Amino acid sequence: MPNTVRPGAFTSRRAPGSRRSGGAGLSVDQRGLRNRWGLLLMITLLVLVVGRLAVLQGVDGAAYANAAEQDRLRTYPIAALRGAVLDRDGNPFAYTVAASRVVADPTVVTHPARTARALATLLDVPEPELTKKLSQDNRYVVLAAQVSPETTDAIDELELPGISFEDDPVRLYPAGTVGGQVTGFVGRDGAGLAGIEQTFDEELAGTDGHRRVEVGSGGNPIPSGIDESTPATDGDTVTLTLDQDLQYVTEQRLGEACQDGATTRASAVVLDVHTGSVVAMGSCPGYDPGKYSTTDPALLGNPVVSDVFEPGSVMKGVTLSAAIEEGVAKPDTVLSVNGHIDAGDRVVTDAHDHDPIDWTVTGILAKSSNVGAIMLAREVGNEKLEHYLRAFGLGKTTGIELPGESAGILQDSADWTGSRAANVPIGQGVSVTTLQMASIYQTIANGGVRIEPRIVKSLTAPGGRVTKAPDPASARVISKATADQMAYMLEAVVGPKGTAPLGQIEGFRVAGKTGTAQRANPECNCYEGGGYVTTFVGFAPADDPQYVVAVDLERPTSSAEGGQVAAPVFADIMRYALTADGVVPSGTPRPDFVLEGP
Amino acid sequence: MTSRATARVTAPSTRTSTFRTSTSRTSTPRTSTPRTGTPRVTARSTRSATRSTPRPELRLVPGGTAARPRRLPTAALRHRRAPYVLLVVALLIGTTLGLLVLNTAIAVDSLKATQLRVANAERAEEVQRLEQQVVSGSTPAEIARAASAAGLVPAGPAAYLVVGPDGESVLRGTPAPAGGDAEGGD
Repeated sequence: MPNTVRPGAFTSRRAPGSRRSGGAGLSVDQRGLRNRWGLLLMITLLVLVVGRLAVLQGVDGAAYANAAEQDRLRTYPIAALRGAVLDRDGNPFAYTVAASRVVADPTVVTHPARTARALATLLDVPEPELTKKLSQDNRYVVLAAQVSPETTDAIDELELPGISFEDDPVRLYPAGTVGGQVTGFVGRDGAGLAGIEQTFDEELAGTDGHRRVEVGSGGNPIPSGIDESTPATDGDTVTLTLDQDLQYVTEQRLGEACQDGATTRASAVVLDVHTGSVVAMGSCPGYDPGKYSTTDPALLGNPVVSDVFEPGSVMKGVTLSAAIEEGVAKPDTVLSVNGHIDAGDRVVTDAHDHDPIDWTVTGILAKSSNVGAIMLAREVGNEKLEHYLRAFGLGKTTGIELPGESAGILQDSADWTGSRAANVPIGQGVSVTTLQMASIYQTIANGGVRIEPRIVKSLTAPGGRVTKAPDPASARVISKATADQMAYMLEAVVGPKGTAPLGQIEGFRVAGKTGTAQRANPECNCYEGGGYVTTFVGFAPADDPQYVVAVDLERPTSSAEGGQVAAPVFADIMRYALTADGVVPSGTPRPDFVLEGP
Repeated sequence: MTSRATARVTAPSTRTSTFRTSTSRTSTPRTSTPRTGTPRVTARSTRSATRSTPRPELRLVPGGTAARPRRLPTAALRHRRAPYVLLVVALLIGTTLGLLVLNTAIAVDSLKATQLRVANAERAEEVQRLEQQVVSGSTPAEIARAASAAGLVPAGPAAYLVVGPDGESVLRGTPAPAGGDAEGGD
């Protein structure tokens, strides 16, 4: 019992003898004040703690949870495999295999020099370059791209810190230059930059996927954790109508032609007569799509569809078709053909000037008389000739599934001058691509029905579903009778008295037409010094046509004619096409042609 | 200590009420200060006191009645609780072990899956490598090279025997031996 307490101050309800309160010496007001401050302090602390909790949990909670999850989640990209490009029998022109990109995090690499030394030989990258890359103040450095799985396994075994791998599929072109111009190539980013790779880039590419996995501290997936993946959708496979073997033979033969010392460029295309599909297409010099980056950029095209030239006498096939279809002449119609003819401000001559000769229309074609063709064209008329030229597909693209196709050049007949009107029927003053030239003769060989040339047979989805390419447009250009008469006359060209006996193939009847056109000199935009473009287009067997082969050789320094240089190339390609396809030799002999009038 | 107290209290209760009263008197302060005494003792003595002479100060009894359930944790009762406790413990242990086994199984499976995935990837690599070998070996250029190395030469024109509807066969084309000199090969 405290006896020092001032009287009246003691108001404690506490029982005597109980523990003394610490505030025993304070007045009621003082203690009330202290209690209030204490309470305020406690409340403030509580509010702070609860508030912080609310902020952490309620406001930032989602972000923190997300950050924590992100810390545990690893997202691995799954690269979609680009679809293959195949020939008609499934042989690959282009396909993709899995490979890796070797990347480094220089902040984690402990010994840049030692790591570089270990990787230099494996990656085939100079050691100083690797050392420089590994010493960068950066967290992501690509050391090498498109590294084979064997190499990545070897690197993996070295257990180098800071080195990792990413999917980086590699595009292979096993056939090399064979079909290279058709297939095209893909750039470093995997986008198609030429040929089929460019046209069908979207279909071939597919869609990349990814896998998200929750991992533990060791980087191993947590068994019951998040493991969701969006699978990659591989690209479609494009099947072409090309035959890889014939393509190889064609390119080999063109390659030989380019070695003759005068030919600077040689192109050829083989069409299936009944479907219009391209069976082979190539040029020399070609290129290997796998080495496009080290190839002269000027060569990275497909001249068969993009380069135009004046076709020369092969155009007489159109002129004479128009003449027969219009009833102007028949194969045995006899014309007195002079060696030269006035054409506006010029004089057009035959290959060799001569006195008037009585030639049949067959003879005009077999001897490739310019004068005779111009005489017939004048009978047909410019407007009608233009109609036939356009109906045979000149002056517009064929619509083949290849990029960079040229439409060629064909002026409106209303704009033709006198000399132009005389030049067009003999294939000068009009430009075509090799493919357009082949398409003209496909029309004649197919009984007068032109089918637009196509090179893609089908698309195959990763699941195996095959989508056939749409049927190409076809249209009748000349009657069956006209086409048959044309086939008959074209056979005379390859006959012993024609311009191209070298185009013959033993056992088969061959129909075709030579062409030797002046080549425009790109330096002066004139014909001087331009040399010649020699051509040969034909089909076989003449009695039951299966294939059309068109060949053109650019020979700036030679005056040799198509029958001499282009026809043998044609014959070699056609011979292989017929033999390999098992086409039975012709059962009937070549008819006797009447070339001159009585 | 509790049982000893009980015995001490109950033994004299059968003899005299006076003694009993004194006993109850001595027990009264104990009851008022529950910290020092046991309620059980109080209950006993109170009941016996009520039986003989009802006394007002013994109204503390209700506390005694309330305390009656406290007699439960006897040996018998402990026996009745034991299975429950055991069950809970067993469940706990069972669950823990089950979880452990499950987790281990999952972890093992996950490990196995990872291993299989690696093995799968290796197989895929192998397949890819072999396919590449086949493809590069079957390109036209490679076949042409291998063929000429084996002494083969390009075929000449082929001739065909065409069988007509009447059964007569006609030779189409002229068969000719392949040209070129066979080199190499065996």
